[in-house]
Amino acid sequence: MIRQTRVSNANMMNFSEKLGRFSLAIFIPMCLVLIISIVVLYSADGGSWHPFALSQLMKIIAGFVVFFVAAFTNIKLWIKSAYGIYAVALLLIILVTFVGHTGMGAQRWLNIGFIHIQPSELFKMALVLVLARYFAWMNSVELDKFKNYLVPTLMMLIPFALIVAQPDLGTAISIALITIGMFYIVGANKKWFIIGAILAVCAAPVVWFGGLHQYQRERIITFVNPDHDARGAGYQINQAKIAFGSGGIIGKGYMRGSQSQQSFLPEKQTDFIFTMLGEEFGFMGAFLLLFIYSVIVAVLFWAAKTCRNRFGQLVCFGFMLNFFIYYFINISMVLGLMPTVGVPLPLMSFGGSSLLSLMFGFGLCENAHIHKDQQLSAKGS
Amino acid sequence: MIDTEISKQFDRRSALFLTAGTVLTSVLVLRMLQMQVFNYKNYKKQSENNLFRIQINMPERGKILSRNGSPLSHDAPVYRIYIIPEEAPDLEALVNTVATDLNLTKKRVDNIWKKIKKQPKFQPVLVSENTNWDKLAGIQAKNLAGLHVESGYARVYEMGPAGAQFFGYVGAPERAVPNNPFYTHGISGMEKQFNETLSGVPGQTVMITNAVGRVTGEDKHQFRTPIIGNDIQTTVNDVIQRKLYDALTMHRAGCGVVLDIENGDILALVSTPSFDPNNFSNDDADEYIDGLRHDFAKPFMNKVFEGLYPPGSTFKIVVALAALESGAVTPNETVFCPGYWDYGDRRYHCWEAHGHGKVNLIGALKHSCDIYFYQLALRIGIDAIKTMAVRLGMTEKYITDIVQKQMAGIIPDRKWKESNIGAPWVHGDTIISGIGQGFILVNCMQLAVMMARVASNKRVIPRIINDGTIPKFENMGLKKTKYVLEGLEEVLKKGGTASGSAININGAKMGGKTGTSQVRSISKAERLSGVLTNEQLKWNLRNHGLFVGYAPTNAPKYAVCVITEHSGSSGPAARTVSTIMKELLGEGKK
Repeated sequence: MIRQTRVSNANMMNFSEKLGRFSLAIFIPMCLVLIISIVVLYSADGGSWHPFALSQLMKIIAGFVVFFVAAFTNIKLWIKSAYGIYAVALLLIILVTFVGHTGMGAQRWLNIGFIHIQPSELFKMALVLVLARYFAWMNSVELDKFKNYLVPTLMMLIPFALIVAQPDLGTAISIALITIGMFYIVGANKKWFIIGAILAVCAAPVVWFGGLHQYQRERIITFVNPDHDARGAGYQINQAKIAFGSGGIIGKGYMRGSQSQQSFLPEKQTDFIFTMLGEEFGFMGAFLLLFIYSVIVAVLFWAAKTCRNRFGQLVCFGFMLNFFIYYFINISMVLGLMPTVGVPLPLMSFGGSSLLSLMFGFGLCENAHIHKDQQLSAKGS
Repeated sequence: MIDTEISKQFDRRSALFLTAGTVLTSVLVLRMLQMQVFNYKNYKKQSENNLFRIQINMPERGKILSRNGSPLSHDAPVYRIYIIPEEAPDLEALVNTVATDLNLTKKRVDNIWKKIKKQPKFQPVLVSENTNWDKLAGIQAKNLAGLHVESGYARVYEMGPAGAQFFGYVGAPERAVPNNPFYTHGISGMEKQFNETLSGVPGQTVMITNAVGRVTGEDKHQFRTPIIGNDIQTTVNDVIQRKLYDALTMHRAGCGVVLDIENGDILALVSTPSFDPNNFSNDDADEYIDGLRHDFAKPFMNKVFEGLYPPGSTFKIVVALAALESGAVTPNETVFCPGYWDYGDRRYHCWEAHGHGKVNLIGALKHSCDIYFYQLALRIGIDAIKTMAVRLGMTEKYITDIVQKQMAGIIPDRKWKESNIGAPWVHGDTIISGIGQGFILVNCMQLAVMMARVASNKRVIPRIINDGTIPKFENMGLKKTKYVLEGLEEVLKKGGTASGSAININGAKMGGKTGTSQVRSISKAERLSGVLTNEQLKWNLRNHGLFVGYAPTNAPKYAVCVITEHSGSSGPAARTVSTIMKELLGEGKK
C-alpha cells in the first residue's frame, strides 16, 4: 500500500488554471436555488423587499464572497485548518449553550454585535470537514479498526449532547446521520452499525423521558397523532399541510398563497418556506425545487466520485450527505412525514448562518473539484 | 491517488446511498402528489374555511303598519358599543368610564369582565346594545381607545303590551347563527308568521382573517348589500288598539276584539295581562320574563283566539234567532218568570231570584231572563241551536294563516256528548245550553263574529291584513234579526242589563248583550245558605263578565266583544265596550 499522505507536493495552480477547472455544474444549480429563494421571500414579505428578501440578498452576496474564497484558495489551507475550524465551531456550540439567545423555545443563537449566529448550522459544515480530514489518510487496515472510530464518535457526541440540550433536535439528528454516513462510506465494519442500532433502540426510552423537552415530546406525539392537539402543537403542521395541499398542481399564483399571505402559515420564511413555494407554485414549483436539489446531490456525488484524492472525495461526499439530510428532513417535516424538528431548507430559508455555512460547503466542494487531480499530504504541505 | 481497494469500497458503499436517496426522494414526490393532486380538493376547502370570516349584515326589518300607515312595530337604528380589550391602554379605566357614562348595571359590568377574561383580547366585547344618540355622542366625544361603535337595528314595539301576543316580537334564535351575533328573527305572533316577508335579505361582508382569527382585510368581491324587508299592512287602528288595552288593564285579566262589520277588518285585539316586548332587551329582562312566566293569568296567551269561555247570556242571541227563524216563537209570545222553573226533577233558577214576571222575546233579551231561554231552548232543541251557532260562525277559526294557535271551542250536540262525555244527551243539557252554559265554549273572536253577522245579516269574515280589496260578504238570509236587534238595543236602555253603559254620540247608539258565565256551578247547599256573592268568592272562582255590542244601531258598522275574566259581573265588560264605541263613533276625536 502506498500511503497517499506521502505522495509528492501538489503543483500549485495559478488562478486561470483554477478558473478553467471551475465546475459550473456545481455553481449553476446552487445559483438557481438562491434565485428561487429570493423570489419566494419577496412573496413572504407580501410583495416587498422587506423584511426578508433584501436582507437575504445581502446575505447571499456575503455568501458568494465566502463561496469564492473557499473555492479558489489552496486546498491545503483547509486541510491544515480543519481541526481549528472544528474547534471554533465546537467552542461556539458550548458558548451558545451557556450564553445563547433563546428563540422558539430553544437556545440557538449567539449575538455577536448586530449579528445573530446559529452555531449549530456552522457546526455541520465543520463536522464534514473534520471527518474528511480525519479519515482521508487512513488505509483500509486502519479503517477497519474500531478504536479509530472512537475519536470521531466523540467529536460528534459532545456537540450532539449540547445541541440536544439546546434543544435542537433537527440539527442533532443531522449531525448524527452525517457522522454515521461518513463512517459507512469510509468503510467502517457493517457489524458496528447493527450493534449501534440495537444500542440506539435501548437508549430511546432514556432519551424520551430524560433527554427531551416537553414540547419536543408533544411534537412527536402530535406527529404520530395529528389530531392530538389541532390548535396547539399540531396547529403549525396542520396549517402547513393545508397550505401545501391547497396549492394543487399549478399553485395559487405568485403572492396569492392565501394561507401564507394571511399568516396562517407560521415560520413561512424559514423552516416552512417549502410550504409557501408549494402553495403559490403548486406541485410544479415544489417538484422543480426538489429536482434541482436532486441535481445538486447528483453533481456533488459526481464530484466525490471523480475526485482523485481522498480528502476532496470525503469533503464532497460529506457535504452531499449534509445537503441531502438538510432538505430531506425539512421537506418531510413540512409535508407531515416527520415531526417538526426545526431544520431550515438549504439555500432557501431566511437566515444567514445556514446560508453561509452551506455556501462555504459549496465553495469547498468546488475547491475539491478544482484540486481533484492533486495529490495531498496530511500536513497540507 | 486513492488506492484501488478504498476506491472500490467507495463505489460499493455509495450504491447504498444512491438507492436510499432515490427511494427517499420518491417518497417526497409521492407525498407531494398525494397532497397537491389527489387530496387537493380537501385541502383547498380547508384553506377557504381558514381564510374567510363572513359577517352577516342584517337589513332593516319591515314594519308592521296600522291601517293608517303608522308603525306598530318597526326597526330603529341603535348603536352597539363594544370594547376591543387589546386596544385599550387601561382596560379597567375604560370599562369604568363606559359603565358610568352609560349607567350600566353592576350585573352587566360583571358580565363584561367575564367576557373580557374568557375571549382572546382582540375579540370585541359587547357593552351596550341599545344606546341612544345622546349617550353615544357623550361617550364618543371622549375619544377612548379600544371603544368601538357599530350601528344596527333594534325592534321598537309602538303598541307596547297592547296586542303583544298577537303582533309578537323578535329575538335571537335558540342556536346562535354563525358569523352573526346580532341576528334576530320573529319569535312569536305576526313577527314570526311574516318573518320571511319582514326580514328581507341579509347582506354580507366577507372579512379576510389570519391564523388567529384577526381580521386583516375585506374581500370586496363577496360583499352583498342587505335588502330591506317588506312592510305588513294591517287593518289595526292604533288608537283603538291602545284604548282597548288601557280599558282592559283596569281589570286583572281579559280580552277583547273590535271588528269593522262592513269589511271584516280587525280594528283592535287585546289580551291582558300582557307583556311589553320593549323590555326584553333590558338588563333585567330575565327577571321580567320569569315574572311573566309565573303569572297564572297567562300573559303570553293570546286569549282572543286561545281563551275559551262559556258564552253565558250572550249566547241568548243565538238561541233567540234560532227560535225566531224556525218559527217556533213569535216576538210577542210571553213566558212567566217567577225566578225559577221546575223541569223534570230539577229546579232551574233565573239569575233574578225574584223573577221577571211576564216577558216576551225582546224583554227576555233586555233583562236576560234565564227562564224564558230555558223554555225556548227546550222547545227548539239543541240541533236547531247548533245549526244557528254554526251559521253565525261560532265553530270556526279565523285568520288561521296568521294565528295558528287557536281554540275553536265547543257547540255541543247529541253525538258530541256521546263520544266526548260518554253519556246520552238529556233535556237538562238543552235547557242550560239556552243560557250559554253547560258544555258550550267559545272564544272572543267567535263571539265578535257572531255579533257582526247578526247585526249585518252578512257572513262577515274577519281579516287583519289589508290587501286593498273590499271583501263582499254573502247575505246570511236571516229574516228575523230585527227582533233580536231590537232586544239588544233595549239592553242598553233604561232597565236593561247594561243600561249604565249606554252611549249616544250624535244620535248613534249601541246595542249589545251582557253575559256572565259561571266558572263553577253553585251548589245547592250554597244556594240554600243564602248564596255566596261573587265578592266573597276567590278571584279565580268568580264568574267571567262578557259583553258583545254593535253600533250604531241604525246602520251597524262596528262589532265588539270584550271578556273580563273573573270580574264577577258583566258590568266591566260592558263599560269597556262602551268606551271603545264612544271612541269609534267620534266622541274621542273631539
